[in-house]
Amino acid sequence: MKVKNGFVLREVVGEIVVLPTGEAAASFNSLITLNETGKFLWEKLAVDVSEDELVSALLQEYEVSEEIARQDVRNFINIMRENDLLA
Amino acid sequence: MIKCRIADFNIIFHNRYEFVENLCRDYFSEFEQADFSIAASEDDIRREHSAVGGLMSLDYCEATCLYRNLCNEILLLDAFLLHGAAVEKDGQACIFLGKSGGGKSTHALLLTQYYPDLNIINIDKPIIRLIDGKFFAYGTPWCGKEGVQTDARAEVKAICFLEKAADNSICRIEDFEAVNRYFHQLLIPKEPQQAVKLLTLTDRFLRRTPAYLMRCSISYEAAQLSYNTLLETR
Repeated sequence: MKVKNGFVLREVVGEIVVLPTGEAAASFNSLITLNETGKFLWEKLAVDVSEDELVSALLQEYEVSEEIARQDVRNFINIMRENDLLA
Repeated sequence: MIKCRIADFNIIFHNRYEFVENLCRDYFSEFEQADFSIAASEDDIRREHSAVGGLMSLDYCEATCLYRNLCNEILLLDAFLLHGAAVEKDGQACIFLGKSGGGKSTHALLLTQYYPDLNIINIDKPIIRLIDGKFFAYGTPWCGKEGVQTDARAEVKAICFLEKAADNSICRIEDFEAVNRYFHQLLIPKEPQQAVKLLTLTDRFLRRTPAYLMRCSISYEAAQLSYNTLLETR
């Protein structure tokens, strides 16, 4: 899975903000703010990755148990799916 | 075709209808060289016409499209549209932001009623422009249903989000709270290049400009609090 095309991500006064443009704007018209982990996962989703790959990436980057990493990834993917943000 | 000077830009509008000529009359300008030109296609206009359920005439829709296209164009020139009421005193402005129908124009009108030294730069949709590191709010012909604006500019020294309440209070808000509230007041462009530019300008604008939250009623006390906190110049 990967993020839909057309989102732009920028830091605005310390907040990580994502705006939909182009085709993404057709189906999503809100603002997204991400925390540090969210940004990390979002950027990994720029290319087609599996849930397992996301968990591995998190484990490599952060000092956290596999259980927590899996939970975080699962929660994140669920929110992305609920808001129709994945291609 | 009309020539206008708006927000210190020399602009040519390629219009089909007359409405926008009447609207922009105060901003007509004779210049040699245009900074850019703006047009609205037949498709643009018909789409806008449908979007408002045919309740606005085609010529009015053209004017709306032209402003939207103008605001998209100026993003690449360090300027953007902000949906709020810009009120100034001695060249320093505060912009009141908030939900549609949230009382921005009412508050701006109340302020100028009680404090004659204040001036409304634009009661609905000022253009904000970054010049030499400072942000200026400009009057433009598009100024809401109240139609209040001045062909002038003022440096933005604060933004204030308004919420209706029985009692009056005002406080500074942190950047992150401002960001969330602020994005509701922006026209978000569909083109990625413009969207990135808008985010960059927004970052700079919010870093430089203190943000406030004012909860207030429609009253003299509210105007007083607003004037004393946001507009009084020493």
